[in-house]
Amino acid sequence: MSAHTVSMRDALYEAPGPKTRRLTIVGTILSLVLVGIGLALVVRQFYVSGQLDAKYWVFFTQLHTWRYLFDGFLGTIRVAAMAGAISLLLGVLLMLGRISNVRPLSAVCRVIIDFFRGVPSLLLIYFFYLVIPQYGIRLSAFWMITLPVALAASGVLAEVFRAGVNAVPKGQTEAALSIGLTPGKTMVKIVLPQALRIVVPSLISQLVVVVKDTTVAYVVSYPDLMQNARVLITTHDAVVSVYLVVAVLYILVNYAINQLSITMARRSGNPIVSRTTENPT
Amino acid sequence: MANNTPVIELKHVDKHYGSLHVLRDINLAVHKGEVLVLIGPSGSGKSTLCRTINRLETIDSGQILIEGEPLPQEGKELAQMRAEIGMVFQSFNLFAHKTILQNVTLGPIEVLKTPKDVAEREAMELLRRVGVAEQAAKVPAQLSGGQQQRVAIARSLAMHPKAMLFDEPTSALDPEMINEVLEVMVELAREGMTMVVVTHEMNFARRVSNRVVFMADGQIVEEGTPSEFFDHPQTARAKDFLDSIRGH
Repeated sequence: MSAHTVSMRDALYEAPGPKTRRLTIVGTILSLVLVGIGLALVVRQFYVSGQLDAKYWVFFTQLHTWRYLFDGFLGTIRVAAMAGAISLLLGVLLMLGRISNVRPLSAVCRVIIDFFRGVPSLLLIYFFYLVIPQYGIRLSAFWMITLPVALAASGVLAEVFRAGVNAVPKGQTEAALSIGLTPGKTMVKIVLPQALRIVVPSLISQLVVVVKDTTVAYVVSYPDLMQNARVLITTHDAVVSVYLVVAVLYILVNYAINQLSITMARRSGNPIVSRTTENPT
Repeated sequence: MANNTPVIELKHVDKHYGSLHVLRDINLAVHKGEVLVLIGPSGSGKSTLCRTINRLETIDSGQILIEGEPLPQEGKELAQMRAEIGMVFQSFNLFAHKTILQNVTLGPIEVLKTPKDVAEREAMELLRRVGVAEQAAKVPAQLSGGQQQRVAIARSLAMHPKAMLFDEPTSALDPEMINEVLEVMVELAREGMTMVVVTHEMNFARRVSNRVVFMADGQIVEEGTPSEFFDHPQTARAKDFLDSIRGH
């Protein structure tokens, strides 16, 4: 730890004394042993139940298995990226409507936000899959999964953005107004950029939810990673091995989102070293 | 001070916060080149009064005139008027996500539509004037309070304001930084800037202002030249206030 960075742990806890340090070492060893035992038990159980048999794993040596998984992976990325983009845009718009001074607009946006936040995304997917086609609107499988996932996320994102906007000190708005910016420009130039940076952590978790929501794409038979995994499972009669591999892939995607958001937040402008400007009168 | 139309004029201004009567029948005129200091105990309404002048606070009744024109209520006209009146806040309120230079150029570029290179040249000139030119590329949080407040003054000046409002500009500063900000303000006053200053800095008030307005409980209790007010306060309220700050 360098001299001028304070880790969260340093900020929350006092520096440990000798007794605490000894306890920490004992605790570390004990937990390592327990984790080791747990893992051994899992592997043993797999072995005993035959999950480690070659027949469950050998098809992973074939290129077309991976190509098939990769196709599904691309499907997931496509849906998640599009749904993420739509929900970010829609989230900002809904939030702007929600905080607007125009009462009816604000009320409508509030209802929309609460609706999409409250309804499970699976229900929205069924709506797009079963109800909308009855009215003669034909959507491709891609949109039948992308739109409901995007809508569900936009409600949450609108509230995330609103929290961010509220967290920007009022003095920032007052200063912007006082140099003659209109309220609209103040929002776009001063408040939103700072709000975005405040909400990056919540934004990441919500985009991860979007990726996870796409896994129900099988409902509309869209070939995403999960759907293709299910096909592999039936073809090779191998549940555990396929799910394990797929789980790792999902974790990788979400880890990538995490890293990407952090990089983008860093790049999006100058670092805010501290926020101290609350406005006492 | 000769000009007949005051730059800022308040007529019978009243304001309530719920049941609290924060401004009571305020009448005040600030003429071109005048430096008016508002003093009074906390809660007397002096900050509120200052903030009504560019409509960061609305008023319930009465009139506010800027160069004889009523203060616009909203829209482009209000923004336009705010652009012409500088404001310096107690807590600086520099834009936290912008560099010092961007803080100063934002108004000219966005509002006055000044070309970027011209705006930057002017901004650097202003930053040099307030003594923080070498900090231009930093962000506000990297500067001391005194430096931030001087940048805030430069940001206001970049709009070529007709008048400037200072809402307790030194109250959030460490003692050793107060003077560097006051010096900039003294300089501005000497150049003939019309200023309304809410402050607790009695030396500044005595040295620089043309007129001292003493407020208490939302009312203007007394006003006069600095020497009149500080040496011969008329009201008991003003005497008490002056005693309490000179006290020890």
